[in-house]
Amino acid sequence: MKKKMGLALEVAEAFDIPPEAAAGMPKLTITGCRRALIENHRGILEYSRENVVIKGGRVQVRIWGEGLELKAMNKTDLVIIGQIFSVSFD
Amino acid sequence: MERIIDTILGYVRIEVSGVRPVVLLNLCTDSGVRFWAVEYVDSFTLRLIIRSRHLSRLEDLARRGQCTVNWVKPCGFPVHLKKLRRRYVLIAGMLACLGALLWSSLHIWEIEVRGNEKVPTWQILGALDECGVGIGSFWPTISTEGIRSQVQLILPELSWLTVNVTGSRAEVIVRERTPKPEIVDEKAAYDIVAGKTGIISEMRVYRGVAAANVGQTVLAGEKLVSCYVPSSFAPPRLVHALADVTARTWYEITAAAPLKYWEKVYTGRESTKYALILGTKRINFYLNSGIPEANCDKIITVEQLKLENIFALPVKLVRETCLEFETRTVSEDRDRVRSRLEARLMSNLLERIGREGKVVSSDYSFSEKNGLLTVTLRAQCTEQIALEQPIAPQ
Repeated sequence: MKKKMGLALEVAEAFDIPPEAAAGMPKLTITGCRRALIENHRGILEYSRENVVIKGGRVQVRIWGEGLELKAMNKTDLVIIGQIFSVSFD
Repeated sequence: MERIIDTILGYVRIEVSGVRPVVLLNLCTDSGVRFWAVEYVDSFTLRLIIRSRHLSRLEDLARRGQCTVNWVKPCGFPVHLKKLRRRYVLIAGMLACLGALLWSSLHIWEIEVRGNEKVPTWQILGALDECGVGIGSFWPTISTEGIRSQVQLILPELSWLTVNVTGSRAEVIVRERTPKPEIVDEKAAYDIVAGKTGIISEMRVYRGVAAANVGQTVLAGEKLVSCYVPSSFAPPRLVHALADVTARTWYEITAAAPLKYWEKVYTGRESTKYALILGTKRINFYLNSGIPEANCDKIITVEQLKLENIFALPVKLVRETCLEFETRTVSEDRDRVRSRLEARLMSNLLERIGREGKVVSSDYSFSEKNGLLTVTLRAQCTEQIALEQPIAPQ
């Protein structure tokens, strides 16, 4: 499975196709340091005011901050607001 | 926009707790239960908002996610509506207001007339009133075509008219008839006579036979050019005489003005009265008549409840402010009165001699008697005196 995903990513990069469309990778858009939009997510794993972990297929997106709040969420997109300090990928 | 819809449809604030309440969020997204404003309370508790209709489904999902719903707080418009359920008087009042609003929106409470230049607005409003378009008229029965033909019968000066009704406001657009130009009958027999008394200085006859000469003194109404054109071989022909006749004319115009006049001085005392106009009925909020006792200027302002250019209600607030004044005699500077009278006399003279006329010389004389300054203008001018006159039928 991992090989398949890696291949899909390579093909997407080779043909200049957006990887979030081809390989189901999450797309993260951060506006300033107060708002983060995550598209193509697979659910929330952890949620607190300082730390939000979002499942995104092969990667997990971890957002560190202060006063974080899940503003809205649907099957594909979610919006987090609050003071964002850092984002890491596991 | 979504927030407004949520408020109208109603939403609930809930608190859920469990070992991993985040699981519930994922279950909600998978099941299509929309939620927002997720608030973290502690590791085992979350607060969130969902739509009222999703509550039962969320309770099922909470059981599946091993969570419990601690409390539910309904919010939004349906909650307020429920509170009003037993307040019959309030509901009746609201319904009455809605009915009154609907009723008033079917009647005209404001009429605006546009496009008139010569025909006064009050005359058009009067004609419209005769045709059934006035304050308080039921507008759905108004037929623009019928109104147009009826108003044109009353006011033939109008060539076209339309009535546009927006809410309870009628906009009447009119077009005035262009007056028919005077048509000169070239075949009719006309003489040229002197319009004013003077000495002829120049004469050009284009048609007809000259009956006066240059240098001759003529009186007003004297024949200058005859329409009878004699012929050696046939009886005289009758033509429409045409000529330019310039003459020297003399004027003596007098004007007078007092050197003292009355001036208003406001005392600072003022009183304000209010009245309410409901439809066509006026309710005065004062006991005595509206006629002021002392010398005063009355300023009336009428304010109507309306949305500009959209909707008007049949409620007008009238405010009458009386500003009291006293009169005192003021002497005016003699030179200033003199120059003002001179200017008026000259303007009057120029009006009399017309655009083609010229003032050759002018002289002013003054006299003062009983506080009245009299100025006399004596002027010599050159102007056109030819005047067409139809010959009397024989």
